[in-house]
Amino acid sequence: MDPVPQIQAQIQAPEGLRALQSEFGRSIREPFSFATGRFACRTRKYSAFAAEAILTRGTQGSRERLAVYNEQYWYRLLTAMQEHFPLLGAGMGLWRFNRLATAFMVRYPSRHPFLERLATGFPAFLREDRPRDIRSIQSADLDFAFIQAFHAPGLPSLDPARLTRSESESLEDAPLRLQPWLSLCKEDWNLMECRTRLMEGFPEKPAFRAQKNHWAIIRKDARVDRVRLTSDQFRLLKELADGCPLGEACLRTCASSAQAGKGGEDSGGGSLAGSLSGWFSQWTAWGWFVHPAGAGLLTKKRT
Amino acid sequence: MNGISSLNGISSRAIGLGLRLPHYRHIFAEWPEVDFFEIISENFMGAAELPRRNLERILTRYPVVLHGVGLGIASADPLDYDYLRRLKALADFTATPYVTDHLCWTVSEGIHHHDLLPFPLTEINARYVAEKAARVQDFLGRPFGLENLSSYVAFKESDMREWEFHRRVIELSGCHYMLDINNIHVSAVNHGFQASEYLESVRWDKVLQCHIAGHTRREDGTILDTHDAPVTDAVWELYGRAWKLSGGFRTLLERDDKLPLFPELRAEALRALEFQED
Repeated sequence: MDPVPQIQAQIQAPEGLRALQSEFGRSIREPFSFATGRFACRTRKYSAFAAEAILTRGTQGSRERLAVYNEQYWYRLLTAMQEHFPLLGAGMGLWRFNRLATAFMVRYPSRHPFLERLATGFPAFLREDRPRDIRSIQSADLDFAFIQAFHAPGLPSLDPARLTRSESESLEDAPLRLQPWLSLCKEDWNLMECRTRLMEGFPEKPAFRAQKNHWAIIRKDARVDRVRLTSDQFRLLKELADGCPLGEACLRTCASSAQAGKGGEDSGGGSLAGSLSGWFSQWTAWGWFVHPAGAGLLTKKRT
Repeated sequence: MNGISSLNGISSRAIGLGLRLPHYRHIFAEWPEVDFFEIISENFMGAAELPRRNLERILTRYPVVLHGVGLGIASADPLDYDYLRRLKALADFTATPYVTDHLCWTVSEGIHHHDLLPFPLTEINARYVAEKAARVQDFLGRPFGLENLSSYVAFKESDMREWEFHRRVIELSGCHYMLDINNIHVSAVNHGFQASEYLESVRWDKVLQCHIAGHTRREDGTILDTHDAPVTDAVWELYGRAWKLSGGFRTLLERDDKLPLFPELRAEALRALEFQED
């Protein structure tokens, strides 16, 4: 049971305070104008109610004073988004990136006290907003994968030695969950290479070139890391990530690989089916899978 | 003399620093002498493992206190108990003797602004904030301090001075001051009041800690609380006056941008000793 003390009834806020915060907030979230080639506050769009509530001082009108907060709001959020999406920002240029991030945050303002949560939903927004810009979408996915690998919670990892017989038998038909910190990324350009250069302090515009790669972005020993995957490994993990049961995921991957006529590219010429157990052993050892829910394994071990 | 003498090994005249990521390498290599560190609570409240591991290492050598930026005690929105549970867990983990945050609002209608926002300073608002602050202190099970803001607007509706409001909230709630000397200076310039009036109104027996920091002046004369520069002479002078009035307090240097090397920052914090005349 949660040991937290019982929560008391919430305290009623003064109505005037609620109204002012609503209008003040709306004003400082007013997006910059990008029309003049530089950020500009649109002070006329501020709430008249909020502006009226503020004292003027010297030559500064109330809207100019409100603009200080309007600027701070957007500078802070755009800076955070630039830090969250370095590859996307460098690839499309910061001016275009800022416009896009602004549109995103106008439609989906922050709903969480932690700034890293701002990034959630941005890749999906990009897919809605510019579905044909595949490189930008893949860049955003890659950037977001790094955020996930750092910030997402870790769940108890699958430990085959602790599986009961029934759990072991059910694994084949039950979905096998990947750790929340693990993301799968497919790239049709050298995105990882470009991102790595950026993070190493080479700020030039990325030199993109066509190149197909598959990656697992993971957390290892508390740090973010990446593992290159073959296309078959990627497909298999993607099937699992999408909720496909283990047995079916393996069958689908084998069928798909055979259809592609690769004859076991991933197994050094041997059969793909023969490679699967090796892959699973490795991934399990790395803690990529979540232990089946409700298994009660730790308790079992202790007894 | 400050009424809260020594807390978890942090003496009543301790001098501390804000713990910032770029300094970890130096700290873990040199383990410099620092009375205590202050962490930004929200940086350690999530599920990320690395910040927590680094914090564990820090805790082996230094006392740590928590300072938040996300509570928004004056928000008209209700208290966020999910946030408070995480904060309490972190407080327990660090064994912080007290927790502080700002006398401000941040969230409205569920939208977070990630800023420390001002509001009208009225009796009704003081009562509202005090009631919430008392609940937070009770929930956390340790002293809760509220920090005065640097602010850039003032409201027609306000019928109390900032220092009157701050004191009123502290007295009504039974909570404490987290007094930011730089913020007093910034708001005094921005709103045209005498910083000394603020200091003279403070209940020094209720002060957990004082902040000092640098700031930036805009072309229009407004001062912004940017924490990106050394502490100014005016703020040091105010700090000295506060020390004389109080008889001593814990001091914490904040720096968030344009960070100097750790030894330089530590030396700046120790400048406080020059202004600590009893």
